[in-house]
Parts: sequence; structure tokens; C-alpha cells
Amino acid sequence: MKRNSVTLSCLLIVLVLVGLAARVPVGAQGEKPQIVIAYDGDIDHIELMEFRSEKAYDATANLYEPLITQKLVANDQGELIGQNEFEGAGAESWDVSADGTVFTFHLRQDAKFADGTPIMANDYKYTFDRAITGPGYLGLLTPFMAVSSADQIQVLDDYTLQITTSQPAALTETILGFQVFGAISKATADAQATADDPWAENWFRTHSNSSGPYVVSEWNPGVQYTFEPNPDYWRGPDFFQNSSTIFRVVPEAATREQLLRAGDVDVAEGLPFSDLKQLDADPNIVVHAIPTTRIFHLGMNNKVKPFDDVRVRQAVSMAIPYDAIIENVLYGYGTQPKSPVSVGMEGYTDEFWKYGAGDLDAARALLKDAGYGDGFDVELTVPQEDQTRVDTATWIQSGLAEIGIKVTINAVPTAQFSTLEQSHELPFFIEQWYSWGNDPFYQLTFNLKCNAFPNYVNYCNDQVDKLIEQGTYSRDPQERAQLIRQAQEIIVNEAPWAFLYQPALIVATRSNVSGIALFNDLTLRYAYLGKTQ
Amino acid sequence: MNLVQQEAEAGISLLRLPDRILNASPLVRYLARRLALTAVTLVGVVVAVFFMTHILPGNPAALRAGPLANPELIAKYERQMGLDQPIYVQFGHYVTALAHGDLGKSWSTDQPVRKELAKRLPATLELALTAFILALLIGVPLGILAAVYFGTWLDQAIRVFATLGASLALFWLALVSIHIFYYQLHLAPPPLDRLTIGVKAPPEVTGLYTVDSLLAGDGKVFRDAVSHLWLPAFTLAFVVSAPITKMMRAAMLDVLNTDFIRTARAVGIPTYRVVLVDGLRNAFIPVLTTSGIVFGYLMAGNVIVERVFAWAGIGQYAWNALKINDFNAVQGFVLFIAVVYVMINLLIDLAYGIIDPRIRLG
Repeated sequence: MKRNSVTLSCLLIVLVLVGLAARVPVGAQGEKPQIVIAYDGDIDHIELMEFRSEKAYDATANLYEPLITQKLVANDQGELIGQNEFEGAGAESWDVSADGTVFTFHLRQDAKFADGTPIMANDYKYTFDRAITGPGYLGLLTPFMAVSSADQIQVLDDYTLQITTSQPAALTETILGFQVFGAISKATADAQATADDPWAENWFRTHSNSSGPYVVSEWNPGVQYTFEPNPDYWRGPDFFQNSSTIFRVVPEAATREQLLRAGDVDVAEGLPFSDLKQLDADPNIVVHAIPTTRIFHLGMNNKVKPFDDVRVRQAVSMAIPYDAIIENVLYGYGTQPKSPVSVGMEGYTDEFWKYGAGDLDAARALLKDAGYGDGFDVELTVPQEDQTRVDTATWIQSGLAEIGIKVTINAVPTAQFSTLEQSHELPFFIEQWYSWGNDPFYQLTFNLKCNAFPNYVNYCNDQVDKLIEQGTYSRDPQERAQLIRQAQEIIVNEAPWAFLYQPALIVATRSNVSGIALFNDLTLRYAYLGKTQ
Repeated sequence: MNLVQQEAEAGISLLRLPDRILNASPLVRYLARRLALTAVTLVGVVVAVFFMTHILPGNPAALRAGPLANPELIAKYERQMGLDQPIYVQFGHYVTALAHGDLGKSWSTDQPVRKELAKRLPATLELALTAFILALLIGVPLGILAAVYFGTWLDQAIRVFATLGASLALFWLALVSIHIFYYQLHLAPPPLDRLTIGVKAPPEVTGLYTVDSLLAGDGKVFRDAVSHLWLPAFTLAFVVSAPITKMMRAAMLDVLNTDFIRTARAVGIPTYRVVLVDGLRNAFIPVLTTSGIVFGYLMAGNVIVERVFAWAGIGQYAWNALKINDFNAVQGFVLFIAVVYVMINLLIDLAYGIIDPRIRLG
């Protein structure tokens, strides 16, 4: 038995020594650095037109080039933020007819796919055909640019594409700038298509013939993906601030934090709010807290008792401890919206908000008027994987207890949560929404228009519907400002949601890393990421 | 009592074996019966898992359609995924495919589950095997020492060690070990899967990087693989060596108190020989059973260590699949683990006969 212990000790020592010897430094290749990002999720697939995991959108954002793209402007913190102004990407320039319905795009003649073939009007035409008539959900987006038929997209010549919208639409440029309308090579798709799979989805789930800045040079699901600059990308090699970007899957937040602190990764996503102050105090780390328009709300089902009564919804809105939630759940990394339009979105106003005074007597009076003077019991449903929402629920619980509403928190698996809310029968829940269109009418169309499928609170007001409709198809900024103001006045008063918070998007980096660039889709654009020694 | 008797008493005469097998040697009969039972177990697992995953609330077609979904899109996915059919029809399709070795496709990646599991299996296997060997190397000697020095400070110390191993939260232990050995002492590489970024995996033979790199004669990759392996393996081994230590100690104490050991000692056979040859051999049967359970646990239950060390094994795969109701992926994982457990049990039963001549079969 002595021999056994000796063997054991020897083995231990050998293992430790071997471990020491094998610490291989992460080397930079050439002059430009390699950037390693620790992500909190995996890429499920990169088929551009199918819904995918949140992180898979980061991948596709770097692989596909739309016709036009948002202009980036640096903010005070040096972060590059996409504006609601556009510049040519796949298209060198474009003309819009006076009535705002005919868009003529003049494509770059030097733009190529990763296989070296030119990107031509035919390819964009194929991309839009695929979006409108093919697989996936993009057919739900093209109506925002008043396009619902593939016939509205026409090839004028090899490098000229024309899009004719059925009426002027405010979001035409915005929608065209989405990564999901980036060019797909028709030749590649045709070559990979089969009888069962005419759009070659199977192939595109794990491959791409990139039209965008990067190509995937390593595909290792669950572990790592390597993105290398596309040598044929039209902006040329100087555009890239790194030699390659590594997407590393690191599921555990505490592990991502330690990796970042030790300097073994350059960027980390998905860190808990509770740890950020401490992280930010580390001189080697910068916590980028970027305001976004992602909005979390307390949904009150307008067709289910007792929330069918507007007074009950207003009373609930009054009794929520908003500031405590921002302070204790978000640790200050967020802001409270006072309208269904997110703070930071065009047309946002807080002038109709009347619920934040903490006037509990007024709330009790409203409940009494509605016939709930003794309060009532209700179940609040939240997805259990989102700790922020679970924590928020307990603050709502304590706030509503003050006015006699007894809340039971029901935290369910995310899959179950989606199914429950899609039944449109869930009375009381916390949901969130982020509008890629970053536009108030886009946001309201999906969430609060009568019979919109994601309108899980069953809110319905014909006047609001008309305002949304008008604003969506107006290209006059002044008219739109007026319309969205009216809509907010009605909705804030009718309180289908209590507006809870907008968390900041957190991207933590080593302090020598630069070039955090975000478009409306909130994905990282790798080409801008660089670092100094 | 031997296992064949146990089964006979449990009334497993349902399994009518052909006469040729019934007339064969006891060992063949025993094996045939065990295999038949195994098949019954696996059929049970297939049925149970299929229905359990399918009654989970949550429609995967709706998840697949995303937040902008509408009923038409969800219905389209339901058709594509076969979810619009009655559950018994779905079960029929699943079983038919399974009979051809097809575990179906994951709905989120649209890749065959068998391929995805096979890709991640070596990571789990390498970690589990290493942790298992380490746990045996720790647990068996400690258990013997504790038994031999029963009641002394050494026994007490070992019992504290075992209690710690059994009661520390694995999640916490993994985080602390990363903090100490990686972040503070720099004795371990970044907890990022199995190889350093930029180090290419060795040519695949077994899928175990340590073995494959040795086969390829690549010392650099071997060192890198071992450096990534040792910390998660020790973390797991620390926890699972606890039951092995306890079982070894208890079994050894039993054996050391038997007449034949007393006799052996009385006739002057040296203590180490009595303990290591006669004692160990007789004490090993309960330890073997525990080891089987431990190995099964290591294969199926190390999702926590896989998560914390960003180790892309089948545990993490199953965890992610469960979150999004990826039926086929979850079923494939559970079925695989069931096969592992059943095989381990079969091997242990066979090993009983070899270790202990009293267990004669038939």
C-alpha cells in the first residue's frame, strides 16, 4: 500500500509538471492581432433566412453583405454605433424615385463572393426571392418595405437591381440594411440544391459562400469557430483590424470572467450585472455598457380577468418599484422606459407617463373602482433561465403586495414559456422585445397591433392600429413624429404593458481592445476589432 | 446470492430461451439471459424517454419559428418535424428509424443526432476515464489505509477527506480549482476545452487526444492535451473518490474481521500480504459495484464540470438540447447513457464470477 501512495504522488507531480510545460502562449499572426471572443452561447446554424440562436446572428452578420448598411458613428466611449442613416455596401450607390417607391441600386463591380465569382444583380434578386417565397421567416419582414411579391425585385442589368415598393414605406432602407438580406450566391445555391431541398438550406446551415467581410475557416460546433478575412471583400485588406477572430463557446459566466481577467480572451459577452462594477475596477478591463432599445415589459392580458379592466392595469403600473428594479436587479446598468416605444427610439416621449409617483392610494382607489377593493391573487409567469426576469418578478411581487395583489411567481423553462404565451391566454408575464428595425412603428406592429401574433397581451385599439399603419407607410418624418406621439398617448393611458426596463448591452473587453461596432441587430462586427500590445 | 437465482426468483421466466441455449453451459445460459434482459431494459428506456420528452410542455416548432413567428410558420415547422401527427405515429417513425441506427435529427442544427453525439463523445469519455482512474487511484488506497489503521488519526483524516468530497458542491469546487490553479498559480491552461487555441487535434483514431497524440508520436499535442485534462479530471476525481474510499474502507473492515483473515494472520502471513492479496480480493466486489455506478455517473453526470471548463462533451450537449426541447437530441443522449449503464452492469456481473469463485453460475 505504501507503493500505491508513492505511485499516486508521482503521478500527481508528473501531471502538474506536464501541465506547466504545456502552457502555450496564444500567438499573434503577422502584424495584425488575433481576437478571441468568449461567447455565452453557441452557433446552431448559419442559414441566413431561418431563425437561429442569438450568437449565430453574430456569425452571419460577418458573412453576408446587404445592399446598403448603417453608417457608424463613434460615441463618447469610442463605441461605433449604427445610425438611422445608410451608406452603400453591396451597392455603390442608389437612387430613390420622388414618390419613394422605386429604388435603383448600382452594384459594385469589384465585389466578389469568397469563391471569387462576382456578386451580381442576379444574386441579390435570388436572395430576395428566397426571402419572400423560400424558407424561414423573412417574408414577415419584407412588408415593412411594402414588398410582398418577388416580382417587385427586378434585374435591370448585371449590376443594376430595381426594387419597386407597392407604397412609400418608412423602413425600406432600414430593412434593406438587415444582415439577413445579404447576398447569397445563386450559382452556389443552385449547385447545392436538391429535389427535397430546392433552396439548399441543408448546405447553407453549415457552409457559406461569403459575400461579407469574413469566411469561416474552422467550424467546430460547441467549441470554436474561426473567422478569417475574406480576401475578396470589396473594402480591401486595410479594412480589417485583426488577422482573424475566434468565436469561443464558454457556457459559464464565471469562467468567461476569469478568462478575461487573465487576458486569455479579449472580449467576453453575457456577464452578470452583479459582477460588472468589480470587473470595471480592474485596470486591464473595460466594461462597455451600451444603451439599446431592448425593452422588458410586464404583460397584462387585456382579455383575461382582472386585467381586462384598464383600471387594474393602471393600478399595477403604479405599484411597481421601477427604480428598485433598475438599482437592484440591473445594478444600474439600464434605464426605465415610460412608453411602449423604447428610450432612444425615434419619437419616444415620456410626457404621457403617469405611473411613477409611487402613489399607492391612487392605485388602491383604482382597484376599488374596478371592484377589486380586496385585491386578488394572480400568477406571474417568467422564463426560469433568465435570472434578471426572475429577480424582477420578486420586486413586482413585493410592490403589488402593497395594494393587496398577491402574486405567485411561476418560473417555467423557456420552451414552456414560449408555448404558454403563444396560446395568448397567459394572464400575467414578463416578456422582452428588441426591434431590429429600431423603429417605433415596427415595434408596435409586432407587439400591440390587433391580432399581431406576438401581441401576447391581446391589446387591440383600432385607432392605434390606424396610427401604426399610417406611420409605417409614411416617409415624412414630421408626420411620423405626430403619429407616434398620438399612439403613445393612447397606449400609455390604456397600459397593456407596465414598462419595466431597458438593460444595457454588456460587452467586456481587455482595455487594449478597440472597435466595438454595433448595428441595429446588436451583433459584433469583427472587422473593427483590434488591439494594441 | 448469485444473480441468476435473483432473476429466477424475480420471475423472469417470461424470457423463453431456445432449448439449444437452455441446454448449453451455465455461462452461455447466463450470458444469453443477461443479454435478453438488457434488450428488454433498453426497449423500456426507448418507450419511457420518448413519451417523457414529448409530454414536456413547450412546442419546439414555435421555438424554431422565433419571436416574429406567426401560426402559419409554426404549422409549417410542425409538419416538417412531424409534430402534427398523433404521438403514436411519431413514436412509430422514431422506432423505425432507431431500428436502422438512426437517432433522428436535432431540430436546432438539423444535423443527425448520432453524428453530433459521436463528435462530442470522445471529450466526455476522455475526461470520465481519466477521472475514473484517478478516483480509483485515490479511493482504493485511502480506503485500505483507513481500514487497516481503523480508529487512528489516519482513519479520521481519510474520513474527513471522503466526507468533504461527498458534500462539496461540484460547481463551486470546479470554480475554485480554476481560480487557484489557473488564475492564481498558473498551473493549468485557460479552461477552454481540450486543446490550446491554435493547437491542431491529432489524427483521429480513438478521439481521445491523449491517446491519439501518443499514437501519432506528437509529444507537444500530448502535453497540451494532458495539461487541459488534469484539472477537470482531478476536480471530478476528488468528488467521486469519496464513495469509492468509503466503500473500500467498509468492505475491507468486513473482510479483515473474518475468520480466514484472522487465521491467515495467526499463521504468520505478513500483514501487507494478508491485506493486499486475500483482503483486497475479497473486499473488491462491493467496490466494483460502486465503481460501476461512479463510471456511469461520470459519463452522464459531469455536465457541471463540462460547463465550467468549457469542455464540449455530451453532457453539455444534452443540457442545451433539454433547454430547447430538442427531442431527438435528448432521446439520443438518454438512450446512449442507458446503453452505457447496461453494459457496465453486464461487465460487472461477469467480473464478479472472475473475482469471486463463490459466484458460480447456474
